[in-house]
Amino acid sequence: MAKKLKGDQVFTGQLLIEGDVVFLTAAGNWSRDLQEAAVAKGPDELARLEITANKAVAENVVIDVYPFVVIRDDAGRLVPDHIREVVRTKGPSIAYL
Amino acid sequence: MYIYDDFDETFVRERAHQFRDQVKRRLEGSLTEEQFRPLRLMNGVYLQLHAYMLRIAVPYGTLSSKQLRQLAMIARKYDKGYGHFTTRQNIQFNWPRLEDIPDILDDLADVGMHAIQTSGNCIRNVTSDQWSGVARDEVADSRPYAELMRQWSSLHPEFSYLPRKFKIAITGSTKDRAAIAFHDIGIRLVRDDHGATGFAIYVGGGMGRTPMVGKLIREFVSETDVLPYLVAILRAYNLEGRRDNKYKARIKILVHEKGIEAFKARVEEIFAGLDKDVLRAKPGELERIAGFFKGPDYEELTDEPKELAMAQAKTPAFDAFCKRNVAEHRVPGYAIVNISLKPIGGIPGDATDRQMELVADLADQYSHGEIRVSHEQNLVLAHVRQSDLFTLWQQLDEAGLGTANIGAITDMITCPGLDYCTLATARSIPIAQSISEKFGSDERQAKIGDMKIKISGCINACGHHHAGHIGILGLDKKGVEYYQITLGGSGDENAAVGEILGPGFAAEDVPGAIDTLVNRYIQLRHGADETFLEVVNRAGLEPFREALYADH
Repeated sequence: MAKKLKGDQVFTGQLLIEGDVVFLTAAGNWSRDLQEAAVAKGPDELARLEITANKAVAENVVIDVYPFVVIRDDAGRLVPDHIREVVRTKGPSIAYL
Repeated sequence: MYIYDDFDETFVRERAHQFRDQVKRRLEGSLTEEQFRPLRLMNGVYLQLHAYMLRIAVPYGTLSSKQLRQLAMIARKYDKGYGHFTTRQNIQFNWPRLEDIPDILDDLADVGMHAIQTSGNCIRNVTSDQWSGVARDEVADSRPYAELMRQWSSLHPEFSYLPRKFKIAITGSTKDRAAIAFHDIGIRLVRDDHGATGFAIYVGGGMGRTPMVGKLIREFVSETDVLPYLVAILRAYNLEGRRDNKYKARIKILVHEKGIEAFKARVEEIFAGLDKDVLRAKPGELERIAGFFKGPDYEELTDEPKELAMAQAKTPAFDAFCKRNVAEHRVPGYAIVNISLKPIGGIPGDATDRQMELVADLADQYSHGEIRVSHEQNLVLAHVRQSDLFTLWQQLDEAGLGTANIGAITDMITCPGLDYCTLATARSIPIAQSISEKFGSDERQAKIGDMKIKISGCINACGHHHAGHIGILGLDKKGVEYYQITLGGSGDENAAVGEILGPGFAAEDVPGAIDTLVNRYIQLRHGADETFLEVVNRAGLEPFREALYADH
């Protein structure tokens, strides 16, 4: 994956058993907390994360993995730069019980 | 309502058992996601934005109280305590764990339910008029035919791998409450000159990125020929429908590209060559099915009992409920009660486990244990004594189910949108909520009258925005949601696709834009009897466009 990145990226997927949204950490685990995600700052780092993510797919831990762009807010916290990933990270934006 | 025979019962049980084994193999890793995906989709299991989603079939929108109670149990035990009723008269749960779904399917099988035909490129759950069998304007009850089609279409070997999904809707009335013109096949029951029941068949309707109003392919197909005729249409589509491009694979594109006359000729040619006796329902089968839909033994009552008029006079909120939510029943002294799942500021189509249980109890008490789901995401009790209406309303109202807004501006069809759906480009539920709050007062809604707003969170149009008197389509522009407004759509017997008014709006500006359109309508109408849609059809889009974009 040598193509130019649009920004810093993290890898996400959903747990096979529960379907919960998770993010790939630097230790190669999957966390429900975006703040624990490993951030790829360039194509090589992203390629490394992708190898780990695909391994977890092959091992039937997660499904539907892909990277998305993150930025940091004023407090230095990771936030997705696209509304879809914002909603996916935070859960439905409505009071859903 | 229809009760499963041994064949259905065994079939559904075996299917649940089969899926349990498939899930087991997936969790053990002997099936890859690629291999498992089509199997889970054949059982209604999607992967959505935050979790798996299970869509359960409610054939032609009819539920028994026992079934609804079981759905409430499933919501509580395996999900987050609520379910969402869809525009295909189904119900979906937003949070099941994959490992629990085999148990859910067993629980469903216990009450004769399943999740077959709720996904995939097959003939989907056949939908119908939620007032079937009780509407005063009905030619005949559509449910026996819908049930016949359910049996015929379930796992149909020839039509399980169609170019794309295939949706059939049927109505027994001249008033179309099932949006038949927006289905791959739309069916309207008619009678010929001799009083025989038959079917007017429409083909090639649909929404999505290429909205089309269905075209009449045959004015009259006899009762005995209906299944063979459906086979002929589906065979023509299966053979000639496009498989090279997902977005051009629905039958509407084939009918459009070929032209209705050429398509009809092809269908008639296939129909003429069919061995129809093999394809027809066996003699007596339709009568056997119809026996399940005779309905209750109604008492001999008269319309408008004294106590009803007194309660209406005494309680304005109940009076408003009667005027908006209660419809005429074909039997004197009875009424059709429409229960709104659109509380002001609420989530359209959602019901909690407790609400489901209450409706099930009320159905047992007042409506012969039967509940209907409408494609507009509301519920119906179809056999209520008029003398019971006040007590029923009190109990509904107490549970937050007494909203008197059926057919009014706050009774919006709304897809789950970006809050749940992986395909969505924008949120739709918060838009519906903000419109609902803006127009929520009874006086304002009464002044506006009949109005259908329909909201979709992407071009796939699950929220039927093309058929909205006002349609709202949520799109994504570089990561920011914006909303396109259409005007003049209709999903009834005068079906029409709405036209785009102009540039889109930011989410926070949508309620204001709707307000502008409504105010313009009030100015333009020739009296309160002229509905919004009638004004749009008379005056055209220009006055609305001017009002909306005057400052731009």
